Amino acid sequence: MTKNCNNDYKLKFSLEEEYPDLSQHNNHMAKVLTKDIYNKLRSKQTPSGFTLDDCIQTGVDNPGHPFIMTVGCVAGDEESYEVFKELFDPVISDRHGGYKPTDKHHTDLNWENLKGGDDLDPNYVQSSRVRTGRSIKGFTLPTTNSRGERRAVEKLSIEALNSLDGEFKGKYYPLKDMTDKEQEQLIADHFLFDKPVSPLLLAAGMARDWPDARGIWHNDNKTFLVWVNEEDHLRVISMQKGGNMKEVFKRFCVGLQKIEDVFKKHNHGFMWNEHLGFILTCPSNLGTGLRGGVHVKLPKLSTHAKFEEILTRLRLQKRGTGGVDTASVGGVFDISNADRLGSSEVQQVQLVVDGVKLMIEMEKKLEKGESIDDMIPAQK
Amino acid sequence: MASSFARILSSKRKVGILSLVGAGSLTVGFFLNREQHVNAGAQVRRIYPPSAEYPDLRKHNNCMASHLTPAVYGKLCNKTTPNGYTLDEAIQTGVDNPGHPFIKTVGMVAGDEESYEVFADLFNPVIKERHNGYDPCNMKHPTDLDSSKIRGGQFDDKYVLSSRVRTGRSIRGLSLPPACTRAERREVEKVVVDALAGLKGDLAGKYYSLTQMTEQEQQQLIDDHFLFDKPVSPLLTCAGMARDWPDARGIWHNNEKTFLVWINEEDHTRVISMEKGGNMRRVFERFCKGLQEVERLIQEKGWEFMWNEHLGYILTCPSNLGTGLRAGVHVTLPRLGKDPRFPKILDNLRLQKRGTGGVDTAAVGNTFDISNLDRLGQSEVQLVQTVIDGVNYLIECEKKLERGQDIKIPAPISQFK
Repeated sequence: MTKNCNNDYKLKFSLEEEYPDLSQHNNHMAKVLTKDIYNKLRSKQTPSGFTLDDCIQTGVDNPGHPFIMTVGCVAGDEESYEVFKELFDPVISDRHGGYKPTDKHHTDLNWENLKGGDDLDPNYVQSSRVRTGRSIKGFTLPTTNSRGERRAVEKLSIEALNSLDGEFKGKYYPLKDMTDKEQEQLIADHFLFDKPVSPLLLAAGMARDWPDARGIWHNDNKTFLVWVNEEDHLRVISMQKGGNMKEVFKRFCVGLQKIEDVFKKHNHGFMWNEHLGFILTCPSNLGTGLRGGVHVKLPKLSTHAKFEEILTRLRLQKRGTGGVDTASVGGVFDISNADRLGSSEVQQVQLVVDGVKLMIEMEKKLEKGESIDDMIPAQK
Repeated sequence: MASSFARILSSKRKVGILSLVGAGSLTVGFFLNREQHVNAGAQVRRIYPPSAEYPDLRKHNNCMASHLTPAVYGKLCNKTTPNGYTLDEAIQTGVDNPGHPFIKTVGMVAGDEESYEVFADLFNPVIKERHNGYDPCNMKHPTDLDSSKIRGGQFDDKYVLSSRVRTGRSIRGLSLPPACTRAERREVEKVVVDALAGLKGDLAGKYYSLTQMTEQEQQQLIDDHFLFDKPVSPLLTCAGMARDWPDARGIWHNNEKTFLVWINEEDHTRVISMEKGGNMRRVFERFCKGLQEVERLIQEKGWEFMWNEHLGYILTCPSNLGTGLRAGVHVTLPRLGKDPRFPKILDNLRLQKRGTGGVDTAAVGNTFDISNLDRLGQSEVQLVQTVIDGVNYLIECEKKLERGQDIKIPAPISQFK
């Protein structure tokens, strides 16, 4: 057990003296963290020495977000979700639609269970993408890992990725040794991730030691991409132009399985449990960690009065084409699943496929000047 | 609230109290038992050997990177200060910020007073490089806040638009901004605000807490150019100084708006004396008087400033050790400012120029912020005198150029007096 001397020192101060001022705050952590809970958890630490204050620092430093209700707390390791249960359980419940501490999460990465999804109209759907994250068991997470640990995760990841073949054969580009030419190509392909600038991530310590042990791997076809040591140990992305979400999802599932097999051989499988599914740094990504979405042209539907409601009923969310925190450009929206925990990967991608299909039908109707009132779906 | 802190302080009081009473020095210093502090922190348990943890500094250009060899890292990486501050924390800002385009940054900070002791093997060479050869191991730093020793100090208002002296002070027994807990930060605020409330006469003033400021107060402080905002510089944010913002941060200033204290920004306190025009003498007089008064007031309550005879006043960034003093003017030098000899003249006078927005800004028009280069190894009186003499010389040069006469680059003045 790693000793956290600083936390021991901090315990000499009273609850009143240490409890954060959350009066101006509007995030899930702030709504949940009463003095009682703070008092109960402040003396605890995970086996790696991660403390309650470490979990909540990002939420204390970032009172609120103009567009979305942020989570406001992060995990430092797999055990955080257990040690700080009294904080994470209610946060998870608020964030994931009432998910209970006794609920079980179902994982389904069998792409054959997806119905349809290979025929989204390419006149509207410009691109399709599925992403998720994975954490490597036995290592602490990006919020708290040391350089040695981060490098070990990178080393294992490179080994796993270099073992892939067929359509998955590819190459790793470490951020710190990239040539200018490689960098330009990665930017042109929209693959390159940069040092985080969001204060939500910076305050959680995820940019420490940048760009040490960070990198991007992609297959030669440029349809399967892995980010190493950004916000999570691994972010895995399958993408292609056009509307064949089924193919994207198939590649996603197959690729993930292959990678997992290699990690398991080294006794470092992915962090997962039957209650929270895949364990990731941010509680918002627990469960599947999956965001499956399309860039789709919906200039008329997006200005329709019922657009937001339609999205909500379809269990979908919209973002700008630059990703989270961006605005739409030219009527093109990023539409993806809103849920992460409590439904499986197949179920979530199914919602995207069915929902986008319906919205394209609606757009076509609106183009013809017809009403879509009888197409408004029931709440899924 | 007082009880937690009384307990902690009494456990820190060591062997004896060494009082320094000398001309101009009203500081009481503790004699720190070095051995005890070096060994006081528990060992950090690591899974990986130092070689796996050693940062990649190949592309770095800061003082920390220049001196953190694998051997030094290996020696220090498992140590902690009594409060649990580690080497990795001290150097994080330098690892995350490889270099600055204009200046060689320091690249490390102290989390508490003991950091300078526990991590001396790294701090000492960094201090030596940053302070032009000052060796903390065998040199002593003079503190002198007797403003009556100043000669001259009233500049021609035609050239000097404003005069300012700033420094920082840390409250002994409480961790510094990179490491302090919310409780400690709040205690710093309480101790300092209590003391400032005791100031009288031309120093009497008011405290504006950042969390409780009204919109109107905020606007006034912005108009007066007093308001400081959450740090955006990655040098500071990577060192953890913006945590919990704006909790326990605030600004105090006197009614006349010539004496200003920032609480819990980059240091526990930043103390600023300023006024329009060229009366640097009066600015420094007020500076010394204010500082000495505040010190007396905190001592009444059993507190004191962090100080020792080798490093002078202890502040968060090693660049501010010693006096922590930057005395400067905003001065208009239309001709001299364009003269190619200007940088060399400044250099020899041991002055630096900055833009009128402070560090990292460019000069606007012909107005420059001119201040002392040095912080450590010379006293406050000596440094302010250097600025006064130097600015006088610059104004003389400007006048000469106005008259069509030639100017001379002065001989370099000696550094450690």
